[in-house]
Amino acid sequence: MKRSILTLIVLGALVMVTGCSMTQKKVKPVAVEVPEIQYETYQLDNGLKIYVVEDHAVPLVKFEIWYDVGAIDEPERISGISHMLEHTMFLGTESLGKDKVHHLTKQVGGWANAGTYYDFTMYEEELPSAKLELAMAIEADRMRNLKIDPEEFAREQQVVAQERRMRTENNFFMSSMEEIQSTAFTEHPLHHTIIGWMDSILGYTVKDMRDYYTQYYSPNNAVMAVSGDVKPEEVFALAQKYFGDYNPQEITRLGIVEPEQTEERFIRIEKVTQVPLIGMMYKIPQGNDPDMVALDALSSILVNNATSRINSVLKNEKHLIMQAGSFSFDLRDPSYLFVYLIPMSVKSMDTVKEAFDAEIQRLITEGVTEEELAAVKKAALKSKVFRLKDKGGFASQLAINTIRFDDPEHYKKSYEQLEALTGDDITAVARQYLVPQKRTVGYVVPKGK
Amino acid sequence: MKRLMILSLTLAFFIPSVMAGVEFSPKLFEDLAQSVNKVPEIKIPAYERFVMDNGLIIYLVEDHSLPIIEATGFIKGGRAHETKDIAGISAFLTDMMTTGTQNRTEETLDQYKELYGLSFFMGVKRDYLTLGGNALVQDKGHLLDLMADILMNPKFDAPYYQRKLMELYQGLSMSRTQDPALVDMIFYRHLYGDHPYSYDTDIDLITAAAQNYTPARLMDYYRESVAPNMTIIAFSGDFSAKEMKREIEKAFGKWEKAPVTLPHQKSIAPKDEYGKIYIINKPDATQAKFKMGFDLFTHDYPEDMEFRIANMVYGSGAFECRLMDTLRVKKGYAYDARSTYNANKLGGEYVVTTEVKPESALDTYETIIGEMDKILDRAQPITKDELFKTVNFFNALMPKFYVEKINVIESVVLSVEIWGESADRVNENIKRYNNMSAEMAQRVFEKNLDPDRFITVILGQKEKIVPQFEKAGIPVEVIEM
Repeated sequence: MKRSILTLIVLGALVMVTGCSMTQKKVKPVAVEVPEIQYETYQLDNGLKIYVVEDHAVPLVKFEIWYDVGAIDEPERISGISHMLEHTMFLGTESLGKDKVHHLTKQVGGWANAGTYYDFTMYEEELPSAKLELAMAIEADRMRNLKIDPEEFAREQQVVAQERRMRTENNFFMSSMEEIQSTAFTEHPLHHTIIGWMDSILGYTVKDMRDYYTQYYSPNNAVMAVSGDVKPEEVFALAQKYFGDYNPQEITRLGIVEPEQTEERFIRIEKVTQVPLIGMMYKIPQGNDPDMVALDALSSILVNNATSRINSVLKNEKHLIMQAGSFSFDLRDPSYLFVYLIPMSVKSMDTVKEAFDAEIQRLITEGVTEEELAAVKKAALKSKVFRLKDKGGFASQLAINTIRFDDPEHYKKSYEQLEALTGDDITAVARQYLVPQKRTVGYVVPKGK
Repeated sequence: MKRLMILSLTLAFFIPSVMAGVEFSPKLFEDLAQSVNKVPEIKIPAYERFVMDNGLIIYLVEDHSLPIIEATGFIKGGRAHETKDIAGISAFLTDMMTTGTQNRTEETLDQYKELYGLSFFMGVKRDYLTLGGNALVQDKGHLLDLMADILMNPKFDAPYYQRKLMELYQGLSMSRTQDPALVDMIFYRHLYGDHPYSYDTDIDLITAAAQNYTPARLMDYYRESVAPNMTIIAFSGDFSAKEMKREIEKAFGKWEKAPVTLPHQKSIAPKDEYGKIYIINKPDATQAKFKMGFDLFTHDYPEDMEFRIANMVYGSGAFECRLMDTLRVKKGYAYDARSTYNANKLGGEYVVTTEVKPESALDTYETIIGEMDKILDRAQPITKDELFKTVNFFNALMPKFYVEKINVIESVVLSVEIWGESADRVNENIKRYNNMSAEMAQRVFEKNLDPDRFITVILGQKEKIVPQFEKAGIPVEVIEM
């Protein structure tokens, strides 16, 4: 790996715990050399953007096409259609028979897969680097020539229905979250989750699918990310050969804005479960908002770190909860931060919620400690270094940042913001976003209790 | 960072010759998909192995590609050490060990890990415990300190003991409503009977046994199952092996050797269970969740690699395998269907899993058996083409899993220290599967599989599932939950 060195100061290492004596003393910041991964980029005249990350460790190439379309682009009637389209893309074209994508990639010693998210849909092949052209041809063909056979489409609807049963309906956490989310978002397509409602899944027509595909699958709405044992010139030339004559098209989006939430919403959900769960969904801004870095840090300090306020007080000290966690999305649209708490009993749910709110207030009032801030920065630095192990992941990151924010190097801004982050920044976002009027609370209780 | 301008100039000369659009056709794709991959050779990195006076075995691999250090390790014995009255204790033991020590409270241990970015975990497998950790290389001293403290100085009568126990009970209670946990409990109970391999999935048994996890019993179990002379740790990272060796000897030198014996009781084939079908009635289930399987060979089986390749054709080759092709691609029943196997030291298992809508339960059951029968009775034997694709696939992708030195050395340690195999086992396996014929795959499949032995567990609404089997004259036993 080339070491075009970016030297960072580890602001996190302010407190050292020596040996087993637990004596704490201040130490000088430590410098770390963090290598950077090189990449090259090109754009076709029709708008298709291409990123290439060379990695010659093994003779393989990972080829990805990312489309700027996902569940937040779907009207309610056809909720989940981005994901259904992902499945339909494996039913073939006139030249690629049903499931040929899997057969051909396996034939050369590779594999193919795809994934749908709230704001993108991604297709990938990993195969011997000498077979890069096969992946290029597959994705070019199905970007424009998808064949939708009604019978096969109906069969695939059943597969997706089964996926929904398996992943959402038979999972008390996922199905509860779906209900809380649909309560939190009343207008925006985040009213539904990625897989969509069962009625929608079973109700799509071939025309719905054809229209959706035609509307969003075009070179100017896609990004190509290639990593592995390839030369950029070769990738760009093949991209020109296979995608160069495709025309761009106008992309129109729903443009639905969720009305501002002004009061707390509450939903009680009964599930077949032995333990209760409290889910709290807070509204947060889009992924490239400057507040997002502080919100991530807040999640760690308040909930996710082993030493978080919630783990220390609600779990370890007061024995009120069994488990807690939180996660957020960094979508191109404003979305949410989700906090879940598993109380020890149904009776204590209100107490747990009050104790959680009290910890937010304490954090706002007393501020963040030096150790808490140091831990967040140390974790970020470590994650930054360990991520360098995965060059394919870096290529994906370039593509996602382009799809979402038209800024492949958005990650650099996040790192810079994190380095400059202060305790006051964190309390400020707690004060702004973690307020009852911006949240929806779900009490998930065992049926009949 | 970007070399856009230079590349644009290069492309200005290169691209015009390939500007024309492409005529897509089946022939184009078939032509592009011709490939015979080279037989790979996994490069085993230079490593140093040494045994400390207390019996602790250490492997060291220098890797200067990134400023990090990683550790991976094993403690021989694992879940097989457990007895029925303390079923499930291994997982509780490792949880307690990684929560605090005699020198660090829960809070100070967590603080130490977070301030220095230290990761450390322990896990439980049937034949060994696993451990692993990592840090930036500047913190390697702290990582060693943490690992040594956790492994050598456990504290079981800690303030968090009661809370951990309560969490365990809550977790078990939660498992009683979780489909995968219920299916596993019933399946492994019937497959392994009283053997310790069945304990970790038996919610009832662990709930009863947990009252015996006293601090004193935990300490006894620790002394019986965790010792340096049963432990192997491999380190890879941006360090000098010479210096690292010195630091390791300092960190782990005082860990005392103990007279630990390895479990040896083999699991017994559950012959009276063969062919039985258990329906777990779960009224709120929206699907039928399947687990079917039977006992299989142990890890020292000489044709393990051949069996693995054959099984890829039947059920572990994702979209290319016969189970997926039938249950998902042709019938549209399942999102996923697969067959896997575990060859442990004291007994193995072969398992088929899938989830379908309840109305398709009987057909799914018959399809799983039917697809296996088609291979076994040679109506549709494993073909040369299927074998070629599987081998070609392995040859292409195998090197990817051994790019990082920590993964290669982990594979070496497992082969040499746990299974008693050669350090070059991975390359021996590559040679074996490249020398296979379709007939060999067919033969090893026939030798080991028999659909009459399937023990079947299906979770779902009995009203929707049982009548299908009754109508077909297939007896089932319903278990109410």
